[in-house]
Amino acid sequence: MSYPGEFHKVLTLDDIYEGEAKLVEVNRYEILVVNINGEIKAYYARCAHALGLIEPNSFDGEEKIICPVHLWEYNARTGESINPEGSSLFPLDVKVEGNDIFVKVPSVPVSEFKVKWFGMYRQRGVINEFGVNS
Amino acid sequence: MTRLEDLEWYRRYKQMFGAFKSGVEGDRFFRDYEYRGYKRVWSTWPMLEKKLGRKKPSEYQIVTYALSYWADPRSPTYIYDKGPFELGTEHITQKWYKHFRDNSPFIKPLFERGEWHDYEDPYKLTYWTYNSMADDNETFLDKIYEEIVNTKYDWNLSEEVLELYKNVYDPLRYVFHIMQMESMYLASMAPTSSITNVFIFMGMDHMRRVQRIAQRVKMLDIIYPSLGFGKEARKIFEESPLFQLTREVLEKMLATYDVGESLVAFNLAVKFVLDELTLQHLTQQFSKMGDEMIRHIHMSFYNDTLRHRHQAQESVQNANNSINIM
Repeated sequence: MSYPGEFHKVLTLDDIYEGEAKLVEVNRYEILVVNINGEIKAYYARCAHALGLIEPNSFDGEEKIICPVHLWEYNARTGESINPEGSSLFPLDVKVEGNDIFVKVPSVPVSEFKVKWFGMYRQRGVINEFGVNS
Repeated sequence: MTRLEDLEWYRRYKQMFGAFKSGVEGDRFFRDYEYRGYKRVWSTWPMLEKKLGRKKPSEYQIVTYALSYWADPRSPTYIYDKGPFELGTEHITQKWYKHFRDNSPFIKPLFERGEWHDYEDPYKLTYWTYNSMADDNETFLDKIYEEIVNTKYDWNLSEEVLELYKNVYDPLRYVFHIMQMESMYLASMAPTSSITNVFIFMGMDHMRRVQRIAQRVKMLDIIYPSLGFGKEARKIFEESPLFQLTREVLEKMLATYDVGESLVAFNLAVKFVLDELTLQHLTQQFSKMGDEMIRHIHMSFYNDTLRHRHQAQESVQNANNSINIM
């Protein structure tokens, strides 16, 4: 996924243990940083279904991210949805330099980003099956 | 930092109430004002960190790892100013645990190296997960019992089945209750909390059997009041030649206080054989005589048994592996 944006330092490796997730906010973007067996991943922390905020404890520590709002399940490694299939979290680029974790935050305003990203599903008809998306 | 004695209000307070009557230490204000360090508290998190490195512990590990008391100066429970078990230094409890657990030949080698903590229940059962599982099992049995009542199942039982219920099935309450007692003894004496949990849940499973047998016998008693169901179970258990060998082995087992010994006796011998006898062979006997319902009930019990065996096997293997590495 290539998108315009710049890297921000969000955490250090000491802040996030294996199996842990942290929620940070940069420029009104809520960002979920997860550590899967030492591998760092970051996602825009809003569920593709109803834009529910995904919390640190939504990550089960191994493989799944489960949205607390309607229990949509995502693969923590790729962001692809497992249940239901055919949807995805928005994966953000991550860069680890030394001890610092940088995340590439999109440079568009959040409101615009939401329309662009979550509108995609509406066109593909994923969302309509499951109710109205805000 | 301002000294307490230099403060105006404190001087006045001293004049009025005569602080320091019993020296600085006894003065409430002094104690709160001049912080002299926290009392160390018992936390298993540093231990978990030592074990896992920089990994978030799972819920099972958080609520299970190394929570039991042990009378060892290196243990996290020793730092209480009240000594091991918070009972001073010369309490009978500590002697009991030292003698029957810490120095038990089976327990000792791993105990001294703190390696019992490495045992993890293969099912990762916590209080929460065990209860949700047990709830499902109970629902299953409730429905079967309801079915027995609704279909008037007991009306059609043959006389020999009723005899079997009365003379063999009813006294099994005592057998399973003794197993429950033994599980709980092992739970209270286990070298580490992950093993304690296994035995607590095992005890609960045995309690469930006691209750279900009693319920079943009462159902029969309601339908056949003249046959005296439930009245003579104890007498049969204490006197019937059928049960005497079982009773002897069970009572010897109950009086075996050494943990290693009772752990092996209970899990690898007594429980194994009795579960096999009661839940498999006795069930077949009932089936032959035309009672099919009991198979479903005992299947639920036997599922527990399979889990118990797996857990016990893991713990013993864990011990053996560690001993062989030495």
